Amino acid sequence: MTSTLGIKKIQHPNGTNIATLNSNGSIAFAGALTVNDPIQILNGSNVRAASSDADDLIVEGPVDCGISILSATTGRIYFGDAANDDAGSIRYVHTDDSMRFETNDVEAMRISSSGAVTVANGLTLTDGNLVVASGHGIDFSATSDATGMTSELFDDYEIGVYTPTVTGSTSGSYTVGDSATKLAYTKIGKMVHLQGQIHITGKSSPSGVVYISLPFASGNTTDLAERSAGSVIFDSANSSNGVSHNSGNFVNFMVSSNSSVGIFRSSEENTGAGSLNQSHLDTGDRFTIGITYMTF
Amino acid sequence: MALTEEKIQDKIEVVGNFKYVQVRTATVIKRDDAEISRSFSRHIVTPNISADDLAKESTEVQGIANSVWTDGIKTAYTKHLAEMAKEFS
Repeated sequence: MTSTLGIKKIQHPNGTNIATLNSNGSIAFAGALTVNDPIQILNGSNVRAASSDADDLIVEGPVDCGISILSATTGRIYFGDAANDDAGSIRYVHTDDSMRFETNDVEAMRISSSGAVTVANGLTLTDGNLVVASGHGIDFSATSDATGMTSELFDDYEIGVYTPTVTGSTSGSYTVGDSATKLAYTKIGKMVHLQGQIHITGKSSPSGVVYISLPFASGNTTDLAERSAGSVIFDSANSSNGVSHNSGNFVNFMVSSNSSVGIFRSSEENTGAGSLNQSHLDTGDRFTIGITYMTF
Repeated sequence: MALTEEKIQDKIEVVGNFKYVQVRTATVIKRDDAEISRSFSRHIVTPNISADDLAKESTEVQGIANSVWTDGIKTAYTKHLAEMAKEFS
């Protein structure tokens, strides 16, 4: 061991420098360093003892602590065993600023420079939810498309109930009650399914076509493509009563395009269709509907 | 253990050329301030709503409605309703 102005050097007997001990406390090794025991790099006081499963290299600092891997192209951490020296790896590739994770020598996940995550082989959540930001969803654009396709983004799902307002198209309204005041909805993408039973328990001078308010306005993209027909069953609290319409008529629940309401549409063989109005629906009447339509 | 119920308009959307204002109201049940259930209800506010009825909507809905419903929108919606009434009379 030699000493020159506070700098000490460790030399091999052949005169080759092995390490230099600098005055600031650092040690510079001239060659590779092999340590047969765990290494602890302690910056300040101990935080706690490391897990015995991972205590071969300990980097410890009282507040912030870290390891920097600085390179021009790729920084790597490899996980190997007797059979494979890089079975698993974590690497950061500076050429495209991606973080990559490999298992069994194959890339399993990549995080791009924009933060987009690509998973190579499925994703399973054992708990918790997959949370999608508003305006985003599941993109099916990788699948083949039918002519007329307008979107491949599944961007919404919602279930709920609402209390529809039952009104006359010209004026007035009906009262709903008797614990039959709500319709249930399920929205899957742009598709809305509506169902439930409503009891009419009163009215306030309804006039015109009977309107049932919708939870979502119906869409209006092209021609009348968003119009939809569903089913309705009428009955009455008074079994001798019931909705007034010709016995030969077929009545359906209809949602037109670009509309906030649905209507009861009556059709008769060899006769033009009509809509149920204040003369058809009265206090004591009940209706059960089911319809699927498209919203915006 | 305290159970509380809170109603929040957690989603207000403006859709379509008539600027329908779709309002989702969430009913949130909490136990000791921790949410244990959330259910939804909905309604649509349309450009032909009366001033009295609009005043019953939340301040936020009123603000949105008043900002998006131009006279042109209201006129177009009135025309749309008339056409619908004519077709489905």
